[in-house]
Amino acid sequence: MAFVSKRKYCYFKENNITEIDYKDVKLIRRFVTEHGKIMPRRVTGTSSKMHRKLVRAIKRARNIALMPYATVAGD
Amino acid sequence: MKYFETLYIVNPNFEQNRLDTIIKDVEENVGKFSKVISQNIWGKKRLAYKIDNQKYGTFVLLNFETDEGSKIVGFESYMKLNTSVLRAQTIRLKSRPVETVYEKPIPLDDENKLKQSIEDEGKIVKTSEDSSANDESTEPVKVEKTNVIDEAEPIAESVDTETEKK
Repeated sequence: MAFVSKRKYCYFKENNITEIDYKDVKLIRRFVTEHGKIMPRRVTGTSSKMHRKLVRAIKRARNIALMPYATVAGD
Repeated sequence: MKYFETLYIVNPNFEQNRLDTIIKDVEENVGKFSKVISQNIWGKKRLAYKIDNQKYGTFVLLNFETDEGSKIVGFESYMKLNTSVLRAQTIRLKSRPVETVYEKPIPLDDENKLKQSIEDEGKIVKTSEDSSANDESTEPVKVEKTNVIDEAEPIAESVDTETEKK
């Protein structure tokens, strides 16, 4: 992989967030692409523990129609 | 004591009376094996994808506590079979929930309020601690006229096009 991750720090650690709520769509949306896909950890720079919690929250939000599963870019 | 949270979506075309009866029925059904901590009606929101050919839905948040965890299966099947409830999701919480209001429905008539609320969106407003919410009749948060919230926000993150093409 010939590119370097943009962020060297974990967003959650910086802001002292320990629990991620699936209802908090504002926070979760930053970690999802335009198409609605979950961004990999090497791009966002999140720690592995928080990334696992984040993915769980994203999938819960998708299930209850707060976030889409997939979108067409430009929506 | 185990704490649970259910978020369910009701058909948006119902009037207030019918919505109230549905909420009461659900509350009764939960009250059989557990104690309701709080209820919170978010109001009409736009769904991320169509459910049952509906673009909007009325969200209701329900917090309850119980020791009989096995009876939740019955409650979940009741929600599944209920035709007025479009979708429901129950999760377990680690600790007693504090009442927080994430989203408030806004009246679309008032332009100033609309602009203000768009700026305020995302602010978590803490209501009072829910230790006093032990009454049987938990009143839902005051909902103004059910209106539509359109969340058409551009996502700030810009992803490398290289990774996308890959």
